[in-house]
Amino acid sequence: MRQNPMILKVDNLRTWFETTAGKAKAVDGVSFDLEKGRTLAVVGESGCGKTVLATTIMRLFRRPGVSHPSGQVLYNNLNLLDLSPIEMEAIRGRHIAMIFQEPMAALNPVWTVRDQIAEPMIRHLKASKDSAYRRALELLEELGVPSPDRVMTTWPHTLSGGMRQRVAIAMALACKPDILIADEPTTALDVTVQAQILRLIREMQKSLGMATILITHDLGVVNEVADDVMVMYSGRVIEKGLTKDVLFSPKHPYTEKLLAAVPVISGDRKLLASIEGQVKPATAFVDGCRFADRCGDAGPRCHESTAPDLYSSGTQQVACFKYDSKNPLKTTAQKKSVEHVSAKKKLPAIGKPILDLKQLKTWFPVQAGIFRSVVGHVKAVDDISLKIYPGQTLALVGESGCGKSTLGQTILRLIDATSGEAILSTDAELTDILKTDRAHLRTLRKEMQIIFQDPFASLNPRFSVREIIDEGLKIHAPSLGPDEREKRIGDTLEEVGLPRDTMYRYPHEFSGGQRQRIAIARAIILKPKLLILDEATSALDVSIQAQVLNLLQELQQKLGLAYIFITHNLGVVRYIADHVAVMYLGKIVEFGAADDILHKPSHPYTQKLIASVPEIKIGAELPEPLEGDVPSPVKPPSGCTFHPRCPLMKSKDSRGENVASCSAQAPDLRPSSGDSALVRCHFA
Amino acid sequence: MTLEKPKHRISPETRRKLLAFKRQRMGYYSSIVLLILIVISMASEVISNSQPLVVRYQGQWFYPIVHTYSDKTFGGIFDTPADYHDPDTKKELSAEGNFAIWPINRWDYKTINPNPGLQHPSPPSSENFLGTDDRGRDLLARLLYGIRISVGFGVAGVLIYTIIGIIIGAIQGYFGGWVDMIIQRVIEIWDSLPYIYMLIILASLFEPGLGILLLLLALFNWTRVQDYVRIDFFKARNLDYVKAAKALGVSDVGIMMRHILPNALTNIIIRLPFAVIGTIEALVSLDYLGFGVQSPTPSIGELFKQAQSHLDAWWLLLFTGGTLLVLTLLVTNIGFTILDTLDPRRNG
Repeated sequence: MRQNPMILKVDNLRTWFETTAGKAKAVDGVSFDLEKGRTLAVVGESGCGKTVLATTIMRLFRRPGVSHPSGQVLYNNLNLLDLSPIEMEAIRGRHIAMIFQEPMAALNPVWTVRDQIAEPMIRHLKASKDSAYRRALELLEELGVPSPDRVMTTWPHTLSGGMRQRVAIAMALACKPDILIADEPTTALDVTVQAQILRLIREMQKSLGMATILITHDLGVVNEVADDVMVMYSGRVIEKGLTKDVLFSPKHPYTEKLLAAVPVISGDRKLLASIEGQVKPATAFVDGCRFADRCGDAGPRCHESTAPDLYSSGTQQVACFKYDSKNPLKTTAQKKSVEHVSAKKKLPAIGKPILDLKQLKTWFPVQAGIFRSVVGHVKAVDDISLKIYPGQTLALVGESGCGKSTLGQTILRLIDATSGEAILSTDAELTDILKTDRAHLRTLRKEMQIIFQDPFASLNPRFSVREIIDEGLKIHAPSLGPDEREKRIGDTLEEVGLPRDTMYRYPHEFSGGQRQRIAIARAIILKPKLLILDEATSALDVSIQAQVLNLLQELQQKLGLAYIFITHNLGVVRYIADHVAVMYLGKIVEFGAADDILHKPSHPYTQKLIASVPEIKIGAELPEPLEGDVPSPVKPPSGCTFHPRCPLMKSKDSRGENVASCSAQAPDLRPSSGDSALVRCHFA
Repeated sequence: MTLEKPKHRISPETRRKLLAFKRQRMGYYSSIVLLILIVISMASEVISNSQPLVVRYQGQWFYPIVHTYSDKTFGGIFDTPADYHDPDTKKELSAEGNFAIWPINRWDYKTINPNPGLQHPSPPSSENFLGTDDRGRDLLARLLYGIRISVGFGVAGVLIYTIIGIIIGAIQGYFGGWVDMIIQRVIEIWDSLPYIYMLIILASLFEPGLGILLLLLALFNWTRVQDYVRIDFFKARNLDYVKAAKALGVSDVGIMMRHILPNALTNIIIRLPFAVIGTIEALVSLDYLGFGVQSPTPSIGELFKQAQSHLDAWWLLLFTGGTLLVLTLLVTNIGFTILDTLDPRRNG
């Protein structure tokens, strides 16, 4: 059955740590085979042991207290766990190479690009410096790095995220390894760049005949790149098989639920299936089925102390008693059909907008010379006009650096605007937030609140939850007594789905999703009218993201909140937004109803952005990526700022049509020829 | 301001750090020993004094330690303050029915041993436990009082300049921009002045005393604190929870005090013990050079100077050096323990 020779065999591997909280069984009995030329995706939420697995294979653990109570990692019948550190050095980077999530952290900031790439060749292949440099240049060319000669002698900090990751890949591939381990290689990148990088990894794998282990939490990426999938939960493999089987007919309840929690662009808009609870810390893993407490389908046997084996079912292997052929678990609960949200009312904008942005500009001066004279501006937010209505969600999307977060913070006056107006409508009056005096601004703050991306950074670790939520209340409702405030804090905590007594605890005791709920409680206790959600769910696992998105949806319906949802995740946009504004280099390039934009985008940029999102659907292929990076905002391209990357312009140009206006004249935002959307393009 | 409920629970973060500090034996015991030493030196008057604590004389109680009595009271001729080491007075007090209760050490820092048979500096004896200095003053008493002044000076000096440094650094870091630019340029000029020479020049202009030395020290040292408070505030003002507080309408002062300062404190606290040692040693050096406090103020630095000119008087060097060594070791020990417990880079 096996066409390819096996290159790596992991057998019943365990990696345990001694920690102050007890024994952490981070990897606990993992077995898999990796064949030459194939890609195995390892998926699962954070805390499931994916990275520890990769690190174990690479033997990158330095700290004491790590043990392997059982298991083997056989590379060409050589057990890597038995090798001495020196012997392992000869394998690492030569035969097995790794790329990491954060390319800046994986590159040495004081080494030039060519020295970084040349190092493994000099070290392992005893290459001369010249030949190593020559090979490095070839690699950069193969990886599609523009002007590789120049890049060779620069330092990593001058490169964009996508370019850094290319350099990291070049380093990993320098010695033509047999196995490439990629640990979330595209998680820190924009979707457009992600598509480029995935394509590259795929191509390099084909040409070198490597085997790849791809660690990711993005099931769309898995679908487009992987041959086989292994789903991990709490240190164990709970399902593995061919990608198409696992993704389209998942067997394990966890895999099923994980897939249902992913917000997708296409298909019906449905209430996301969230998974109750969260992954336990590795020190609290039980002996029996570790998913039983979140399963909902679990029978009495699941809570016993014997873990399910990997049972075969079809082409898959599943660690669930339901598939125990000798004694299958009967489950009473029938599969809950996923609820569909009432096809969301396409609200015509009724009534007054809660917030009216008029020609808003936030320019940051670029200073140079000893006298710090202003030589130019970074137009982070450039001439933005938008209306936000009560009870509606406006999504701001775009690649990183397009100015969407700056816009959010400008509205709150956390950053000062250069010009324009932001009219906030309260019960009594209309106020321009950008011009009003500080005292009045302070009273208006209760009307608009913000939720940040990283729930670990947005709560002061020294404050109890009560103090955190109380802070705004003390300012905006000073007449309340302590008892009344405490009651309200308790009520609000319940509203966001946390028990009342949460208030006496401290942020570090909570998981990411719970912390995000605390941040939401801090905001909504002031009864705001507008909530700015700055990538509010990006740092969360999909199952937790689904919980938070559902909560936000519920709160909006109940409280009539208006949301400005800043995100790069278009699946989330589809789920939560009524309107979408697509930003590119500080400007809105397309605006319209969410369904129109996602299904019939007019602007070539929007089209590419949407096409770059990896989807979980049959036959999904890696998209043709959008070329290049977002240009430097200090010196934006002339005319239409998108023209250097624009596929539409290129295709028109190749057909001999006149595209001179693209580079000569900046297009206006005007109604598109298609639907009601506004679009900033000469041709759309 | 509304009052919080009076349940001031220590935050678990703080408790964890306190426990971690306690676990480090060396630092824990050092801090206990230092504490005892400080308590003893604070109580120097009761432990080492030329006046008896209580005197019973002709059926009456006297308290010379708190009250100055005339020599006439105890049968003298002149109306001068009583000298309890005077042989005549001693005789009176030991007469039938009279007695005096003395402190452990019968000398204070300035009383000269009147015994004409002694040549000063005199070696340790049953009268002067650690010997005397070159003017016949008790060495133990001078060291005891000297510790008090040194530690007090060190702590007070560091506190003053730390507070100045926090205020200025906080303003610079939090507001940034022009405010920071201007203050930073002024500081650069100020910092380029040679500190020790400036101290010497200024100390010779004014009548040297502890107060003026403290002021000069603070003036030239606050920039050490300002430096990293500024950086900490600069980093912290972009933290999400600081932005969130701003969005809630918390005032600038509120954000600085409640949200940022507690985080900056770590960096301040881990440097405090070493700063105190530095300040103590600065005083010792100034005293040694003769620009510090003036006689008869007890001073470790001045004792070092005596030890240098009386090389044969081993007790001067041994005990003075020993005192400074023990003091430095204790505080340094505590400093490193605090560093170990608080510095996130050390227990990563």
